[in-house]
Amino acid sequence: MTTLEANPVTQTTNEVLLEANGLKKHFPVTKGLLVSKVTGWIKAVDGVSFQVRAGETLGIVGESGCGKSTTAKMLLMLEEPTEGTIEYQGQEIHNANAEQRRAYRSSVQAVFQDPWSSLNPRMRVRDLIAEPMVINLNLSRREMQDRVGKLLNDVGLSSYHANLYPHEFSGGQRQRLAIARALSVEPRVIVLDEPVSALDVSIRAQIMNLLMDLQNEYNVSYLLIAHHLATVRYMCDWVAVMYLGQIVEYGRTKELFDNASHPYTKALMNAALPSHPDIEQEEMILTGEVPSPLNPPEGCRFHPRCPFVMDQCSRDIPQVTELEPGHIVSCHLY
Amino acid sequence: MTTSTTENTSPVVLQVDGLKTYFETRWGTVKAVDGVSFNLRRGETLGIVGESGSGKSVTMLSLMRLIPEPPGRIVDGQILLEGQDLVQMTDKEMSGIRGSQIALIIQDPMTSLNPVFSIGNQVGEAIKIHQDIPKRTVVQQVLDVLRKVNIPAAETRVRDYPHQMSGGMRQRVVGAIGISCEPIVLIADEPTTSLDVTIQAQYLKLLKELQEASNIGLIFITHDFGIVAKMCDRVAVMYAGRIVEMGDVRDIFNNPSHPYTEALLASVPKLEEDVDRLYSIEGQPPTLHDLPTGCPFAPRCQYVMDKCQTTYPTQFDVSDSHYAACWRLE
Amino acid sequence: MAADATLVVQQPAAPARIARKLWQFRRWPLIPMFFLVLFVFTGIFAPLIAPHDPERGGLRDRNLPPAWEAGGSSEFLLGTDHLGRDMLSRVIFGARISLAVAGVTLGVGMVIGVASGLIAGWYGGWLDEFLMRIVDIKLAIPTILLALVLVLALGQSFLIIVAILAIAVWPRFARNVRGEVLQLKTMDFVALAKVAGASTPRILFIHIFPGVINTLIVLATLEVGIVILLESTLSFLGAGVPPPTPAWGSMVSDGRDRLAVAWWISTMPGLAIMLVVLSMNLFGDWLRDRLDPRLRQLN
Ligand SMILES: Nc1ncnc2c1ncn2[C@@H]1O[C@H](COP(=O)(O)OP(=O)(O)O)[C@@H](O)[C@H]1O
Ligand SMILES: Nc1ncnc2c1ncn2[C@@H]1O[C@H](COP(=O)(O)OP(=O)(O)O)[C@@H](O)[C@H]1O
Ligand code: SF4
Ligand code: SF4
Ligand SMILES: [Mg+2]
Ligand SMILES: [Mg+2]
Repeated sequence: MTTLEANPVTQTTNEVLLEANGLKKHFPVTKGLLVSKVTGWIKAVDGVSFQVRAGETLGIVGESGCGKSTTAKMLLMLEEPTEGTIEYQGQEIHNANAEQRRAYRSSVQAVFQDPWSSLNPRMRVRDLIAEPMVINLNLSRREMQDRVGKLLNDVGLSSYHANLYPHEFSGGQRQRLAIARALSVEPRVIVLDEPVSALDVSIRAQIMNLLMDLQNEYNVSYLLIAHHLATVRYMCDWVAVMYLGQIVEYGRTKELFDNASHPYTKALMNAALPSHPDIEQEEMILTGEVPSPLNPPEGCRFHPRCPFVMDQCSRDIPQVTELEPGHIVSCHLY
Repeated sequence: MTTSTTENTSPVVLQVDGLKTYFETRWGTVKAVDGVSFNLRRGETLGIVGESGSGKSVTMLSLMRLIPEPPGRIVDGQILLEGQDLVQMTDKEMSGIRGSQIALIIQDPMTSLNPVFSIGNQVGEAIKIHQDIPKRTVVQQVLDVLRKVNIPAAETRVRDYPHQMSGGMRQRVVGAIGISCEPIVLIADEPTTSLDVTIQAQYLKLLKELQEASNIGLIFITHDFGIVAKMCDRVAVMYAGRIVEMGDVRDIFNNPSHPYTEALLASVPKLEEDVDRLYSIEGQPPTLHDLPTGCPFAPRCQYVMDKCQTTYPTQFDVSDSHYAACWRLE
Repeated sequence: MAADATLVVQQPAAPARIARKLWQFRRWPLIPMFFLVLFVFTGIFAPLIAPHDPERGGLRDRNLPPAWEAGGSSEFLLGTDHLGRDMLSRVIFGARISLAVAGVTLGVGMVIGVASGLIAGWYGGWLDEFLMRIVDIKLAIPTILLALVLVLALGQSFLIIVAILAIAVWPRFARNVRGEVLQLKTMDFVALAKVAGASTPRILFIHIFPGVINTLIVLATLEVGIVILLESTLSFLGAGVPPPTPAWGSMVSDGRDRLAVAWWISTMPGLAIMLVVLSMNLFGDWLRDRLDPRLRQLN
């Protein structure tokens, strides 16, 4: 399942670090008490391809349930893909040997949405931040301690915080701790799954700016998952728009926001809230909800809600079209 | 009251004056709402914006007289709904008014319906609580209100259960319950925070239509300036239990006069344009049981002056429909 | 508000400070805790405390009443039994048996229960199914019946009694630990530990196990009472720790035919059982409310 067309051709010079090709994750739906029988498949992720480039940020946007977190989990090796490949620096990882998988694990770290659930409440900050280093690196106690101190400073806290427990921190500070932990093994890629959604409005900019500063300092790439378009516009170099397990539009942020082409991308932009009362928005409010990934619609998955739907849309799966170099869309309009 | 072109000269239906609601906790007195005043006209949408913990929900619960007592208490102030003071009312009088004259939509419309009752039943219940009317009339009113929120084939759909309806339909039913007794004031407390953008857009549109159709005074509580920009005529910005700035929506966006409002607006990424770097407000929202003397925003304010540390700022008019509580305006 | 804050910082006068300290303890179950400490202390130091040998008596001193009754002797504070053995010393050594049985039983039961709970909850699937069915079956069989059958089949010894009681207690541990693990394993910090490359043992012992310790402590205190009662019941039925070791249950049993002439022979160990079990339960309830209020629905 290597769809050549799905790989956007680009002119950037940044090397591709992480690449997903035709990634799928189907969860079985089972029935029966004693002998369970598979009655269907939830197609949570159904053939997505994208690339994360060195030092850049790729954003994945879409409504809840469209498969963003499942995609992230496959990259983090928390879920086994049903089909498709993930390559890190050209090396396929799910079939790699133990040594390569280990190396991959410490090169790709994560920060999740809920800062209350992502830090073990029974560990001191020192041990929380050091855990990835303890597992992956061979450092002396002294070196470890120094690095924890430096990481705490880098995320805007101070080294005396190392002795505290997570509950002594606010939500924003906890997210800083989670970031420090992710950075501790100097990964090349960090998966950020809705990192600011759970925070107070006045704290979100702090964390977004911190993430952008750290990107320069540590030369790390981000895969940022968000449902808020403006956040993506602010933080990302590349954007992939997902709908029902598939990427419907993909391109450089500026290009994509200036020339949004897929009807779903346009609808998302119209539904997003304006930043000023004088901004007039096109009335393009989608009807209905996202259908269940259990029985996704035939043809184009967006056709039951699409304002531009045509006859062929309910029949044929749209091909991937490259509008501009690197800007691809899958829709029969193009 | 307003100076903008769309001046609203309808009568004031709700006037809140010096409202103070305190909670006695083991850390001390939490002044969750500490002297809030505003008024609301018919057909007007007032946005109350602020971060979590700033006292928005307590303000709303005070208006509905739903403060859990103890630990909470309305300590001072007036809430005049068409001239009658809700603060002075007995619980019995209040329960006649709650839901019928001043109604509330709190939760996520996708989950706030009871799955075991038909929707006709649930809307009917809301009507029966406040009106002593025969069953036939109730049925008729249920159908009327369902038609009002544009539910097609209301006669057959009244017997449906929530799970048989699409999300959009369920939103409409929740809206129908909100307006079933034709309230004068409708309060919506963050009803869309948990919704996806496309669903949120549908629901906001519905609320706006309902409000315009019935000329209700709508109070929209949110932490999102985007919702304010889309929905509201006037805005009150709350910080640490007080209104720190209030004005017409355009005044607030074009000329934010309180440093907190200014900082919040500058810290939100924009969909329409590239922002090089967001303004980031340092520090954290204050805890209400341990407020500094003086201006509660002082520890985070980029313009802080000596005076700010010692004395709470009084209100200064920016224009005749716009004020802010900040010493910089002195 | 600022005035209040400075007030708190000021050091109150000494009596006020002591009063405040004491006030903190007002909800502590001080009386139960006193009896429990006494129980453990006497159990451990029985040979040093007991005034007489609990297993030897003089026939001349048979059925002496407690010291405060007419005919009682200050040498035997709680009187003597039908063989002239000192009741006080026997109750003291009985505490030792109960403590030993409860301690070893809980230790063994807890290890088995925690291990199977962790495995069932973490791996799920058929392993979980299998272990939980065993737990269901065990919880459906009356423990006393099972114990009597096993004693008949295997004989009577300290080790066998402990083994039987451990079988009786582990399922509850297993079930509660499993429930806790099912919840903990969905927490993001567990996923993030995997992302960091943590091995399964590391995750189980560093991230999951500490999260079930509170539950374990609470459950253990609640189970101690049950174990002591069970052990006493078995001894009472003659299926407990073999005589002449002074177990409380067999002492109650010894005295039951003589209740009319020497009520103290049954009553003293009976009171001891009641005091310890009641204290344990009161203490356990309090601990549960403090550490893990969710457990209230259980039991
Ligand atoms: N472990 C699982 N078992 C079954 N279905 C799942 C599982 N994880 C996710 N799903 C389903 O897959 C879809 C995508 O979920 P998710 O990736 O979490 O979406 P998003 O992060 O975009 O909100 C949803 O419909 C969800 O219900
Ligand atoms: N029942 C209560 N008991 C004690 N304090 C409360 C209670 N309800 C609210 N508060 C306090 O009142 C303050 C304002 O809360 P709220 O109005 O809910 O904020 P928000 O602006 O997020 O709606 C908070 O600091 C909260 O701790
Ligand atoms: S393929 Fe058809 S239905 Fe799908 S987005 Fe394009 S126009 Fe709409
Ligand atoms: S009063 Fe002072 S501290 Fe408060 S907002 Fe104004 S300038 Fe800032
Ligand atoms: Mg998600
Ligand atoms: Mg609230």
